[in-house]
Amino acid sequence: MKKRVLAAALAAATVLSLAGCNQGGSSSGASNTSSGSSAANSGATSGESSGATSSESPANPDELTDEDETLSLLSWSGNEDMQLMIDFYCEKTGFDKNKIKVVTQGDSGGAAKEAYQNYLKGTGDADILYCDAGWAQLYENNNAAMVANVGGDLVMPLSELGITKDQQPNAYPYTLQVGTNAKGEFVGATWQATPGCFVYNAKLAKQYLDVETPEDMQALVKDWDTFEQTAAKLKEASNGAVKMVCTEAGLWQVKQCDKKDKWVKDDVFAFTGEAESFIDFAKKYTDEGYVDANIGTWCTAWWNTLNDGSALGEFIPTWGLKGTSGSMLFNFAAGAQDVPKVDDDGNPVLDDDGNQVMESVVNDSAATDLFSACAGPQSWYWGGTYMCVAAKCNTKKTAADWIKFFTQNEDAMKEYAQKNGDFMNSTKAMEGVTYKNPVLIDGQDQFAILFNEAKKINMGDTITMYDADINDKFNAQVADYCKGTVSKDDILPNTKTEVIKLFPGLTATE
Amino acid sequence: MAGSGTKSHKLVSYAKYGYMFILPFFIVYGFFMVWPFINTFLLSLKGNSNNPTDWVGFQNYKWLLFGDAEKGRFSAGSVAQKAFWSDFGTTLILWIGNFIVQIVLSLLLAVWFSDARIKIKGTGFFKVVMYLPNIIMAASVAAMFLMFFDSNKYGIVNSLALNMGWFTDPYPFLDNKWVIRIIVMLIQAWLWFGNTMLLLLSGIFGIDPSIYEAASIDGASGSTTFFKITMPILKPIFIYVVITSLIGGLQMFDIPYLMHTGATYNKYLETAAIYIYQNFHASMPNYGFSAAASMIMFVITLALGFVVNRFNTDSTAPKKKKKA
Repeated sequence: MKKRVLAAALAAATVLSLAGCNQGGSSSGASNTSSGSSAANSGATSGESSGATSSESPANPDELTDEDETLSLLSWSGNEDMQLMIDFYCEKTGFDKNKIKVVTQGDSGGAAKEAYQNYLKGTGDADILYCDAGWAQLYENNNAAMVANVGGDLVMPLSELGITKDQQPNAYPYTLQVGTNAKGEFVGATWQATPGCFVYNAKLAKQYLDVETPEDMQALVKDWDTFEQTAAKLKEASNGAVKMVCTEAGLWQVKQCDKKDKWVKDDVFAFTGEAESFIDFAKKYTDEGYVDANIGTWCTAWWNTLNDGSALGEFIPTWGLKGTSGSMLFNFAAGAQDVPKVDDDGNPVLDDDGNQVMESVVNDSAATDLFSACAGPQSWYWGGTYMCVAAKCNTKKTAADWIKFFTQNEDAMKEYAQKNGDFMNSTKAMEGVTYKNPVLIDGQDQFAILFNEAKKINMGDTITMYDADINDKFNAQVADYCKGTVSKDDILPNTKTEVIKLFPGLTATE
Repeated sequence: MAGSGTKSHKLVSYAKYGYMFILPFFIVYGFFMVWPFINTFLLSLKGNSNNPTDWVGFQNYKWLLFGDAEKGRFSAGSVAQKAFWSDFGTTLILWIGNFIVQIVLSLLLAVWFSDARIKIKGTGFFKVVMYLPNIIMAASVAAMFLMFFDSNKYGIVNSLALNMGWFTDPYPFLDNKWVIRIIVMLIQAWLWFGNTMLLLLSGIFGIDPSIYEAASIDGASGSTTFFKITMPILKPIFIYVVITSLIGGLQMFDIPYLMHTGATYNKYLETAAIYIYQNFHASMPNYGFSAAASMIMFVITLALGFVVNRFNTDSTAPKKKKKA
């Protein structure tokens, strides 16, 4: 008897220990569960469409129902907007906070891109997906790879919730362009606009360029020709010590909004003229010493460059201008260092792969006498979060109310802007809203600048779901060219190779 | 009656307990290793990116192994082939460089620590210190070395050199193909030499010291002892070290993947494992290529493992004589 008990205990111990160590072992990783298991979910997607599948005639809002009471919002941890929006919505509409659930998937926008589809594959409730502008189009277009993974559509057109573009007459046009998919359906609505401006070190500007006010600075950077002349002047005055712009990546963030054509048409990838002119532009700026090609982004070197006087300015979007701790502007103003992130108990914070998460911490409170902002040489945008409705949304009435509240209710939007400093997606709502930025000199109101800039952004019909990846691959080559590790003739072929490697379904001509 | 008067012996078979003990292992192995393996193979027969559910047969393998030259150099097949083999080459280069440094260092240290003539004090302390790098997390190691070797003036080596006047401009460590590769080789060697040294040391301690005494009486020098006595006896352990290092080296991922600043990995450090990873982490994942590349790497690893194992012949065993 004892022998059998011992044998059973040893066997159990072996199973448990082997189960533990084999978990991470296989490299097949991706889908251990066969796609057949998600067949159960695909039934849910087809059952709910109210018949308005291909036509854009909006559903009647009065006919929408909530099959399930809980509104589930998919987001990533560290997305500060969620709690602000929930608190504001419940305060204004009296909605029960307990009925809103935030499902965190991933610890960053990039992680969420992958994590959402895995969540949608399962049986968890999903009503609204918060998608970062960089990859929103992947979800908005119900791309084949993710659809196959999930076993059904990812999102549904907003018309099925009775929401159309015309209901947002005062929205900044580019946001509606980003929210429209290749079929022309309006799929992603956003409450915010994310234009950017040029933040510069006012002390250096005074010293080398005789700039007293942001208006003076704007006169020196009002278009690219003037910008370049100013860069040359700065180089001469400082003997090359101070560069005009922090990073080459910053220049690309702005210039990539110049597109006149789609990167991909009918599955063929081809370069647009603006891309090729950017190559010469970036190289010229590097060779002339207006930018240092070796400074990367999102690292300590980036924060410090603006702080220690190596560069005059950088292009920063609205969400980077917050005067709060941890924002881009704050990091620039205080200089930062990367330290391992620890939680409240002092334990190291690990990411999903078990690696230590590093965070940038500021050295001391931000200097408030260092920076001012001006519009810069052109209008541009970076990022922004778009709300898409999951195909398996079962709380349609509340979801529709939520989206309308934040994108169409201009009084509410105005109040939200004043309260939280978010740049809302409506010219009417933003009219007269000011924001005293505690980090900019004299609490400069950045909204005054951005209000006009945002109106000028026009992405036309140039947006595709491949944009973010193609932009990254292209600029990686250009940055290498600026550093001297790639020859000019290789930039375009290398980019084509990298893009086809990533998207083997596309073709590229010689 | 046959056997009357003698006790009849019942044949008690304990075999079933043996099977019971090994069954859990096979169940777990089957579920966690064999089933994913089969699934990976099935995935490799499917498409990528925008046609992930199509069965494409062996097209992924064909493309990865032979390319697709007739459709031009930017066709999916040509690009995949070039990428995979160049990444495989990088993997081999990084592994061989790391292994040579590692094995030389480990052997030297193992021999010195076990040599009765050289009395090194505090070998226990040294062994611990040398093993320590192995237990640091790869991410911390990468972060640390990135701080050292950052390409701009904020990197520690660069800022030191600039301050001392050795460099006038910061040296782009991360952007020089061979410099960054050598750095990664040395990092890997540093991480693993302690482990290898301990293995070799235990192998050396298994050698009968009387052989060394006999050799020193016969006037053998240190290097003769090493090459004629230590190495041949160490061969099985040495082969084991080579095979395990090879398997780990072909799967090298963590350090090459993490040694970058900015958004994307360092292009000079792309290993085969990184190729597999990128493909299934793409915006529209290429599961077919990932899976096919995994299978190809498995076959290569198996083949190389067999080749190395062929050297592990016991030369003292009598050769089997053919029956006349």
